Amino acid sequence: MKQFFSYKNLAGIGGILIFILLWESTIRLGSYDFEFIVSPSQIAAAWLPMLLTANFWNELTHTLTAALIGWLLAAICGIILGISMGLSSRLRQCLMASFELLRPLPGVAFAPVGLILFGFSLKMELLVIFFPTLWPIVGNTLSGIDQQSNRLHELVKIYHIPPLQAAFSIYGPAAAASILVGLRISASLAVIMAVIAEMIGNPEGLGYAIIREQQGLHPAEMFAYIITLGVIGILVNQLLIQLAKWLMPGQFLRTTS
Amino acid sequence: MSAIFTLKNIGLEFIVDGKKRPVLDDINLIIDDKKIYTIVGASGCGKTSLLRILGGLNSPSKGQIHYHNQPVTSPPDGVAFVFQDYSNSLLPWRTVEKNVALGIERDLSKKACLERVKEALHLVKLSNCAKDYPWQLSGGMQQRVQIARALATRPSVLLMDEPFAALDAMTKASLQDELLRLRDETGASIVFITHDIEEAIYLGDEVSVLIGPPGKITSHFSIELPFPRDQIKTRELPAFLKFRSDIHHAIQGQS
Repeated sequence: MKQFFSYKNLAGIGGILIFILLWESTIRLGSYDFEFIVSPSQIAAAWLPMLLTANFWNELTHTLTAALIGWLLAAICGIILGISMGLSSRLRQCLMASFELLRPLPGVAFAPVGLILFGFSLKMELLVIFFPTLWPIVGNTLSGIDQQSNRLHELVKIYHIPPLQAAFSIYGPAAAASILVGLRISASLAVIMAVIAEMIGNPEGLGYAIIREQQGLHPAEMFAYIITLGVIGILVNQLLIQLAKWLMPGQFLRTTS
Repeated sequence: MSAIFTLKNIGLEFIVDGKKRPVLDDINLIIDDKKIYTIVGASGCGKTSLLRILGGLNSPSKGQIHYHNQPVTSPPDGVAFVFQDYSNSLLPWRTVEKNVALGIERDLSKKACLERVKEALHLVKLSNCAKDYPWQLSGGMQQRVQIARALATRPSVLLMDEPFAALDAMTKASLQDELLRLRDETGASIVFITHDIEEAIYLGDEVSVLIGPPGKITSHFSIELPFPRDQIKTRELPAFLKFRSDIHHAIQGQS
């Protein structure tokens, strides 16, 4: 990801430029004639003024806020659930079947449930975001705990570390790398689910904006919103990598160096 | 002088696929104050299991084990462990300093804890690496961090499971000398497991030969070699060579 932005990645940047150029020329030369496929320059022309409107930033804020709240809720519940299930075999026996049953359910399926429960609201959006983002966090936390060497267990015994403290200061951090993988997967997923929820339910935010522009037959604006989402995806991922570095300087340096 | 550990008729069995697998058989051992006990044996003879019983990590299937006259059911206070695999045993997200503090941070004030960590790092000559992460250090240094962590708890016994086996010959030699010095400076007893006969003699006041499986202590040697020991001179002494061949025969003769 770092390479994506580095000036040395000329080949990567060149690839993107060639793609844009091909797209632009195909449309300009009229070799592909379709009314609703617009050229990159048209998209840019629609996007730049859009960036100056308050409405655009409100929509962006709405989607990001919804994704962030849903993701944070899922992170808190998922990490606690994953660590508890990882450390207590009894709890794991009780919950594992439910976990396997709920995990494959498509998150979108919760949208109508959310609509019935909460109507067109942020709550409905949060429900749609929360469920699908929960599972990667639980699963990765759990496997992070499972992969730990038995040695940690012995250290806890030898140094008489009380259970709750062991969970927070030994087992949790030891699973941190794996937990962060889960958090990254679900962060992207949270944005996706927010957009879907806005498309089919809550008429706010970027998801609704895409539908609105599509139905208003404004393809350039529609693409502009889609590209906005792409940029958000990249930024969210970068942010989480920085978060990981800040949270655990030790491990992250080791895995990337 | 009261014994730190007393082991009487210790036996250990694991159940593997419903079948009993004997690991240790009729082990009798007394660990006294301020001595280094080395237990030497081939790989798979039950050395580590014996050490784990001493550390309270495994319970024996037969016999009694007492630590300062108390039966051992879980890891007792005052017993510290040094494992062979230092990279798994140190916490990679903690600095050297914080790793060393692991055993004492709950019981001491912040200031006292820091003091104790400093002292332990000084003992193993790692004062300059307090803020480093373990994985930034060489294998020998990481193993010294583990020893410092054990020493920080001011143990009466240090249990060491082939601690130098994964290190190169030069690092190994220098750590052996450091260990002898540490014993003098801290007064802790040491139980040291190894498959290296020379190491067992060089370090040990008492050498026990473990033959197995199932592991049985077949012979004891009280090593009377002059101090301070020297990597070249001690190893060339006729008495050293005699111990070496005797222990070699003790291991080979019965395997």
